[in-house]
Amino acid sequence: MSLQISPEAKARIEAITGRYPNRQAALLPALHIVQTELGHLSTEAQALVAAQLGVPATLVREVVSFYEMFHEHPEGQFHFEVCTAFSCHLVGADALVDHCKKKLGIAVGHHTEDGVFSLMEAECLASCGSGPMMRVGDDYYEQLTTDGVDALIEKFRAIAPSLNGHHYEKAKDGTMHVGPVKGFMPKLLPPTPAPAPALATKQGDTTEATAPPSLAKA
Amino acid sequence: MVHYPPKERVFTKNWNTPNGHTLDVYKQSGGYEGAKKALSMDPGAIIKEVMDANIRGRGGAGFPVGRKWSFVPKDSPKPKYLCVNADESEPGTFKDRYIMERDPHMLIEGCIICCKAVDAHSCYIYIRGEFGLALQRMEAAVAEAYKAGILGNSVLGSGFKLDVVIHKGAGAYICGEETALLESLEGKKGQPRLKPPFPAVEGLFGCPTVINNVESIAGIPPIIVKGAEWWKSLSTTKAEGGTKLVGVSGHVARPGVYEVGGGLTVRQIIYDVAGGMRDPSRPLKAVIPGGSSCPIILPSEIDVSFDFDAMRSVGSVMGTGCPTIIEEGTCIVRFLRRTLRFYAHESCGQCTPCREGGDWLYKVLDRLENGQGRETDIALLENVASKIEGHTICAFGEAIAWPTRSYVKKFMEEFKDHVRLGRCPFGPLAIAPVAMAGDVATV
Repeated sequence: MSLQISPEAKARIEAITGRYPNRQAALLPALHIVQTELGHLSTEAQALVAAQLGVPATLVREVVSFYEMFHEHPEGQFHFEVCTAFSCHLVGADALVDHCKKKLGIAVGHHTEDGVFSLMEAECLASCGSGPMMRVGDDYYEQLTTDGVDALIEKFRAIAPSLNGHHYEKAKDGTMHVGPVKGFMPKLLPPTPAPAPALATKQGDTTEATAPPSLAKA
Repeated sequence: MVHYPPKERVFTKNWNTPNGHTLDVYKQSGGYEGAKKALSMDPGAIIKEVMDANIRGRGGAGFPVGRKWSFVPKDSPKPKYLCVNADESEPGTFKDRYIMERDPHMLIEGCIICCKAVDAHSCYIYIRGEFGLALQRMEAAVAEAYKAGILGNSVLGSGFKLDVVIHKGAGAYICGEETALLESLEGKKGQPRLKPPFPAVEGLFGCPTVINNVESIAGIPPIIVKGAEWWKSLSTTKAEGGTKLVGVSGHVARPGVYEVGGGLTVRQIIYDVAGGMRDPSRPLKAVIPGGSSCPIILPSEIDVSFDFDAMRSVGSVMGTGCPTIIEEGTCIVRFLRRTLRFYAHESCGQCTPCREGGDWLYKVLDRLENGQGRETDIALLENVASKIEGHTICAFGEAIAWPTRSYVKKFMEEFKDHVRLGRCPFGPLAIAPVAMAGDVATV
């Protein structure tokens, strides 16, 4: 077999198996490790994992096809997962997906010809208070606008050659981005002038009349 | 007396402290005192304290945490396990991720206390694979804890052995269902198991297992330190003690995660905590109380205490406690189509009514929204939904049926309009980014 898992990855998988009472339980973590190393989980890669853990290859295939994060085919180096769940839907996720499609010239579920970008509609990524948003590698880009997406695409195009064909997971120094695209903070609605000081509607409520500091700066 | 912020911050006290996710900061704020106390307590006394505090499962079902622990057999010769359900993926729910990113040690301390109470020596924290930062922070926190002797062969020098393992999920909504989570942890497809046997008796690897949500476990340490009476004093509702995290999203002026004392009404959460509607010219149209599977409620129904019991009086549930607020001008049919696309996609495929029915509902909604709806379609939605509900192994069937049936019932005219007009009467939704407010500092 030409395809190989590196000895380091093999050792990491071996170490992880020690955390569970049986080797099969390490299947998901092992697949994550192999996918990160090889880019995607081809039938050959799945067989390697099956052999190392001593589980049937059919089981590995079953698991790989069940979970959203495992890919049997290569995806773009920058895999855009735009959250389209209902909270993001309310603040314009559909229009954002349309913009990405137009900008990248691809349909959802496809990748660009140069293999740099791929686009997917993701389900809720638990960033409902800061939508619309998308996940690229391990990074969260929140409060997105069309300008913000354009800036990101440009930035990614510039750093793509330095990845040597690998997928983008996180920055080289291991840091992750969570928040809006820097320099492209959307114009947000002005905060309501004075936050309601105390909660009305309740008799005998004696809450203090000052606005909580975290609200004041919002 | 209820207000925001609560009388005392429990979950969010370190969220905006620099390096709040590190052991040093956590210890400075009284961290691991609860674990120390619990390690010298009798397991029965721990469970009693948690039961008295009346803390209920924060993952959606609201099952009393202490009672769940008490079901674990004490005389079983098998090893026992704790699984923390950190597979937060119910649309509209975004609170557990922030606990793990901003105060991971709180969760670890809760794990120690729970494991001591049920005599478990292995704990698995099943974290959603997409949560890059939460995974990184939790792994770092566990490593810190091992190094400091907080985890390992002798937890805090007590002789009690505990191993905590961070397990990365791989993206499947159904793995948030407790038995599907167990299957997934064992290295299989996440397909729910038939109950009984319940996990407390036969769970992970066939052994007695406690499964709790992140927020439920993270709330335990302060209860042990300060007592059940104190915890109950943070809430004004009898339904549940303590403070809770409320993640408000949608068309409000200040969406975000807020820590509030229990017993606020839905109206207070929308208008007082989250700043009211974002656009005063577009009043409130509807509220999804706690994640996509909850039945929808109308503006006339929001004067109800936001707790597990009171929400039933308006035919809904509190769910995960993260309400999504919808303004006038939003198309409910399109919104439901979005929700149903999610369920059709995420069905694990095990039970026919759910696997087939979810997709049928989506297709019917799609044609309604596209102007090809038929007169009979509205009755068809109700018909299909009623045949999914109650006919599946897990509650996923209800999660499809509840929204469908309640949206159709409460917005019947809107569904009829789509058929009558042969088109959707609403315009597209513009990109309108929202900024996180509340207890999570904006970056």
